[in-house]
Amino acid sequence: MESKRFDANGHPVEDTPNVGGQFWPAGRNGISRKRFLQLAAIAGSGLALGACGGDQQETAKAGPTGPPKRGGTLRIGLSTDVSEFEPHISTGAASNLIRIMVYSPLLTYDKRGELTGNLAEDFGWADDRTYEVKLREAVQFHNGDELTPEDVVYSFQRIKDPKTAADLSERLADVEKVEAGDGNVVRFRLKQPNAVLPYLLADPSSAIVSKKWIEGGAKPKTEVMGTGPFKFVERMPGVSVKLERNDNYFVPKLPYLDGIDIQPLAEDNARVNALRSGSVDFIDYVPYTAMDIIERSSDLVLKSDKVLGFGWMGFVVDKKPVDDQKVRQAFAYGMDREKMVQTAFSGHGVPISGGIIPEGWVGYSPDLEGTYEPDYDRAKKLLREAGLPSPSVDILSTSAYSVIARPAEAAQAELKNADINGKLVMQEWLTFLDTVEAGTYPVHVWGSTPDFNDPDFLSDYIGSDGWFAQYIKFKDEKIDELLLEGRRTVGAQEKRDEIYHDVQERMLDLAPWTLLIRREQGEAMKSYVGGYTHIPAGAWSMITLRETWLDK
Amino acid sequence: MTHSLEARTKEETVESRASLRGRIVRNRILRSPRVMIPAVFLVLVTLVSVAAPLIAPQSPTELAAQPLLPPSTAHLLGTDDFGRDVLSRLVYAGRISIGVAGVSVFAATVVGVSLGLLAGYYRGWVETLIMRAMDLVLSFPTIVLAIAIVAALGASVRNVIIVIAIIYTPQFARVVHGATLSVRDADYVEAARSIGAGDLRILRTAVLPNVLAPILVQVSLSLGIAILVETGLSFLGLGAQPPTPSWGNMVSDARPFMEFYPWLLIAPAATIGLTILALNTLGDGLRDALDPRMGGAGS
Amino acid sequence: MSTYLIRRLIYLAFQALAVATVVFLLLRLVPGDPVRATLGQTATPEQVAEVRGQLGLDQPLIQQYGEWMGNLVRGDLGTAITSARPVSLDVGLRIGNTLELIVLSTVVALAVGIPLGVIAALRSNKVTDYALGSLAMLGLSLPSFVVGTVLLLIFALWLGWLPESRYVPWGESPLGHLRTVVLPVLTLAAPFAAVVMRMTRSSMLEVVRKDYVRTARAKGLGSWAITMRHALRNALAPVLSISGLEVVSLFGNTVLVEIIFSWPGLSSLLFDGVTQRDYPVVQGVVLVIAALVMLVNLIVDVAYGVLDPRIRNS
Repeated sequence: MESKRFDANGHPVEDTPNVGGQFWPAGRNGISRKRFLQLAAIAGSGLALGACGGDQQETAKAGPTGPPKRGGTLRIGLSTDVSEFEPHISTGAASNLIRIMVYSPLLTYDKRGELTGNLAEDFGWADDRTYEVKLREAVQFHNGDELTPEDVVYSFQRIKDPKTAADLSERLADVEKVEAGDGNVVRFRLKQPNAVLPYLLADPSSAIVSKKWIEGGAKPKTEVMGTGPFKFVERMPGVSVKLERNDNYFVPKLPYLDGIDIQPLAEDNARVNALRSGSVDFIDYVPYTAMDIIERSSDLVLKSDKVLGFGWMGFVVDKKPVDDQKVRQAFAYGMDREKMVQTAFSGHGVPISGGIIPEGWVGYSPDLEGTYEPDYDRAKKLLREAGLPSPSVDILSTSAYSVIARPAEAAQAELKNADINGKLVMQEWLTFLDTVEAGTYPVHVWGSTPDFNDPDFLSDYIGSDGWFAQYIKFKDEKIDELLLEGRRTVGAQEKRDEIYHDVQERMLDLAPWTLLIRREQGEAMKSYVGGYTHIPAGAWSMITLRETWLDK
Repeated sequence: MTHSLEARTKEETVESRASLRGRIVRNRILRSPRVMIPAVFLVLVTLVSVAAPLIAPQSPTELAAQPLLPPSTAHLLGTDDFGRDVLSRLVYAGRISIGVAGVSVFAATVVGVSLGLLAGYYRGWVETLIMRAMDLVLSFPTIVLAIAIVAALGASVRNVIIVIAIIYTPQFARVVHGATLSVRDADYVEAARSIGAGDLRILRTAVLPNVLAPILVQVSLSLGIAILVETGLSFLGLGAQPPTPSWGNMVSDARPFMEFYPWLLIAPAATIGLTILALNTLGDGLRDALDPRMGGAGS
Repeated sequence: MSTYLIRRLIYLAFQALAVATVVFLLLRLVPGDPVRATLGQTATPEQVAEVRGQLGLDQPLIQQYGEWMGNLVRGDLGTAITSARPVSLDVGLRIGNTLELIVLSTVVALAVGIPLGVIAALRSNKVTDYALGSLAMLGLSLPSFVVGTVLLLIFALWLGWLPESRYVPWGESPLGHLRTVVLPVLTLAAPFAAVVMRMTRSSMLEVVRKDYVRTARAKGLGSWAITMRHALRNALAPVLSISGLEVVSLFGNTVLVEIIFSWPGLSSLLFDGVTQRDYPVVQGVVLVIAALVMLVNLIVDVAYGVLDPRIRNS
């Protein structure tokens, strides 16, 4: 999808490639075609690293072939129950899924994980402080009202309103004004250049809502009305959320499904068994324990990646014994991450021994790979130099999620090789969040996924204003400087590559945290479910459900 | 001085009667298989758990081998998903479950018996206050209460002990309260009081021995329930935290794997079942042996 | 009788309130902020404060309590923090599911336990009795989460007879619903049936020794008729009373069972509410459960009175 430039009157202008990155050709701020195919191959043959003998299945289990069929209801078993429907706040995976199905943000991701237009037909930088989108014509809300630029303006006003407590309000701080222009155009005027803005426009939390509907007294926490491929039908808490096709969806022919029936199955085993028994057609967050079984089943398909999810061990940098950089580095050297992948996830993951930015992104730095190859002797040496030959330390983590707990246990076992005696302190989820924030324990193990596929997500973690950096009391001026520069550099990928390379290098050296392993993460479905693509972007956006169909 | 001679004789008779009864009961207990077999089993289990560091073939938290190995000579119960020896974990886990049960029931006994004695002996507002409070705790489904408290206070072995102690104190209080009521007006208590014995002495020498029987039964039953609750809480992730093994969290950990590696489930499940079975049988046997209406060594 | 009832009901109401008040206080004194959890890590302190204000969580404790009590009188259990839905709505939707499990388990337990208990009593001290007794002991000794997990393993995973491991609403498929309800009910009924069986047996044994049975025999009635009509009738009273206690502990066991079988009932609502620190949900559900439990106790006491001819005739 080409993007165009517009003049002040909304007329398209000839493009000139040199003015600050206003285009989105493949490879700029998303994953290039080549990369994606590589990743897909790796994901598809996840068997290769499976632990239990793993039979090598040569035939890739493709979904149904042939033209998509219309009809049918897809039954999804979801790992969380949606709590509320507020469009501008994310309350978890279920919330993300439902909001991306019933609401639409301006942009979204295509099958390759690249940004593409959604409500916006065309989009791009007009200059380095102005971002323009041209809305599609004749888009209707589910109640029949037509989408206008005023709705877009209103939505962003609502996001910035403190009363909404919207997710993106902080991130959109650079946006000074959102204004409607002629010809169905909306312009974002920024105070400063911000390379992340396009990603924010693809986030479900920037969903466009109907001004009329909300001002008419609707309660968006419990009522739902958007422009998405599906309409909200009903909700029975703990039992199901039912969606039905929006026949007036702005993408012709889509969606193929008559409806989607979402059932919360938080219990991992129950969710997997429901899929295997045919009780549901599709599940998310496949636990690693089930991946091999699913791969071996001829009627099930796993679609996953080992790119996004990452786990880390964090250090409160002003607390003993990790206030000494040498000690932190000792921790980093003291773990064999390759082994941890086996122990924690039976091979369903990849170690992170170097930079954190995945392949295919801006800032990917393969030269940093192997920075922290396991070196127990070096770790012990560093500890001796720091005057702590055999430290005992409490390691905080949470038993709530096995994707966090298992690496924690694996890490603790590994650290013994470097004479580090870690004692695991496991807390349940909310208590854990509080405790990490309070910085009570010097070391913790945690995990997450980037909110968007741009290295600027690191600002949250190691930029001194970021919520994580504040938890671990980390502040480094050089990193802050670099991160800010990276954010403000729109286009000019080489420059950004350099900046983020330096960020990672410094981050590895200072070691406010040490990265552990990436887990394999994905969805599983029956083989008769076609048209779904797992996208390692947008925190595993499930937007491709709008092109999913059932071969039944 | 006739009065005191009479009283003294009464006191002696009371005491000798008590000791004779004690001996009869003791014999009955020792001869009842329903008491002795589980008792032996439980003593063995406790000893093994206590001696865990000496007995267990491997460390419960070391990654000793390949994960998910079936039972073999090297690993009698196989290995778990982390590659840890299941038998060792099972043995160490006993310390948690038995320890928690023991400590919490001990605490419940001490507090509950005291409260029950006070309520039953003094009656009046003391009784009302105590028993109403006990009712309040009793009226609530235990696991729900346990979950609420532990989830709020934080998941740890210590909190589980506290919670179980709180939940089972009323049982003891009730039992002892009832028993105290029935003996407080008995002859020997009256006699003891008439010779001027202090309340505490009366409680200790006259009342307590006679309520001992139901207390013992209650202890044994409570131990069983305590293990039930502790394993239940551990199963929910609210008890011993990883990597510390507990029978409950071993069952929970086994669930993703039990289809193809069932020994991971069977080992802790069977251990829990047998232990609680032993405690229940013991309680039953004790109840029968101590029941004055039943003749002979129980059935 | 009716004054007794009314007095008990009032007492019950107070007790339930007392329990809920304790929970109200406990919840607010412990760490973990529900608002923070809902808004996520990126939320600023200002946003958290804003939402707390909107939900009235920044008011003094007394005021919050007063508001909650005031709403309670009007039948309003408050609004959930995480879902913004009225708690009474969610409770209403899910209470049926939990009650279904409890009622069905009670029926099964009684239907299995009483006859087995009678048989054991009739054949007391013979092999059948010992066998049944051991079975009962086993049922009592296995925790519900063990029984549930093992049943799942055997019937759902290995045999595949009952593959549905998710809740199927009755409206969607009655057969599917029945299939999903079997395992949870069996899990809950097992220990209950064991207790009923034992109680029935010992109660029957006691009664059989009594004089009035001998008298009835003397009157010439067949021994089977005697057993069923007189002995059983009198034996049932303690069985009933212990069943009442068991139903209370059933509420406890439903938590584990609802979690294992993904059953959307009241207990799992409570568990979720606790883990998310959703105060209104926990308070509301605790109140409802406490009230239900006390109601059950009341019903049992009344039924005891009705059933036991000694009490009735006195």
